[in-house]
Amino acid sequence: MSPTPHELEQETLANLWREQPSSPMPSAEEVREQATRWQRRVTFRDLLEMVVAVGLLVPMGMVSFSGEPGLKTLTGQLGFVGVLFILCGFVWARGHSRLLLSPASDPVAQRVVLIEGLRFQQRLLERVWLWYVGPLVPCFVASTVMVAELEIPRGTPMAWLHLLLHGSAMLATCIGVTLLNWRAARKIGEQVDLLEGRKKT
Amino acid sequence: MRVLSGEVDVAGNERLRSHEACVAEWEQLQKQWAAPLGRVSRGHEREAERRRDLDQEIWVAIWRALPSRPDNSPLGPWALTVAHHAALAHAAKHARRREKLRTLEELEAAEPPPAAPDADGRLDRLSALQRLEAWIQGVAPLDRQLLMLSLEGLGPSELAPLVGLSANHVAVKLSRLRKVMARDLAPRTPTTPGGDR
Repeated sequence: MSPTPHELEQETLANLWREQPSSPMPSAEEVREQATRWQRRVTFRDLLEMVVAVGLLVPMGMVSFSGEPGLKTLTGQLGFVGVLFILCGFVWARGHSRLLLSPASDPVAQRVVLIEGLRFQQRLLERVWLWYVGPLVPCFVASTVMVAELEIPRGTPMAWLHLLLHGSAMLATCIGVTLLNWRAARKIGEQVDLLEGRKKT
Repeated sequence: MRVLSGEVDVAGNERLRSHEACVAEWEQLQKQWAAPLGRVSRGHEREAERRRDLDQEIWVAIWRALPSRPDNSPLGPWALTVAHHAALAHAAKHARRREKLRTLEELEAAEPPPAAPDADGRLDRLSALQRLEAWIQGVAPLDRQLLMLSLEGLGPSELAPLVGLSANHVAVKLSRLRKVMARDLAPRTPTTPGGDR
């Protein structure tokens, strides 16, 4: 049976694809070095993040817990606890992602691992209110109350305006961060749908 | 945690290859599969700079996965699958900057793109290759992987265990994909304005 025009065209396209130049493959020694460099980069990045986190938290904790009792100190303490909670969440998420990144042996398992990793990111972004924005809300509320308490002279239109601006900024930050993360989660969800071969709605 | 050099991993059911065995397999890949592996990035990444990064990611991914390659998985197709998964992970990372990808159903429903302007209806090789690359890059990941592996000469029965679908399902998908690809990329003589009236 003679080939159909479509079959002929497919053969031409396959030949075209196979005749194009390809990226050179490194030697085993070169790729081993690349893999070592990659591992070193990951370790260095983790270490740097840890150092920055500790460098940020220690002075913050010292300032927050050494002040006179009062609303200002309480605000600092709430902020410190919120940031500590978020950083612990980051460390946990990074550890979990690392487990998901370990190379799977079976080709189908590789796809599952890839999809599971993306789903994990999606879940984290969807629940950003719980682990990122939520822990900072007490600090934001306390800081708004603090602004109201500190405003001088109290009860004037300027004081109310100041309070309104501060509260709005806090609220806008919470809502903005949440919406941006939900948007990113939706994008990842679309990626997962495509990876799983599900038709987009 | 996985332990290299012929040890058993934590699951206790998988023997990992030694460094020497990995080097031997890498050299085998270099001899027999360098070209197909080196073409993977072309179907997944449009920008030259990021394509170079993707090449590196692909080589490292294959090297890292080599110790745990299952014995019953043929080396070349297995490495190609690892390369595609590295490329898909790369694509997911840069998803925000990407254009909208089209599923098979959307491809079938879409109008074929206009033919490239060429006096005798034929495309030069470079333009044809660029069109082919761009077309493949716009296909949804699973379909793109199937199509690229089939362009490298892998048949449905070889592809099925690599993507976790049945051979029949792969054959049907490939047939539909190739049909749309041929329809969209076939060189056609451009119609002159008002010529079809």
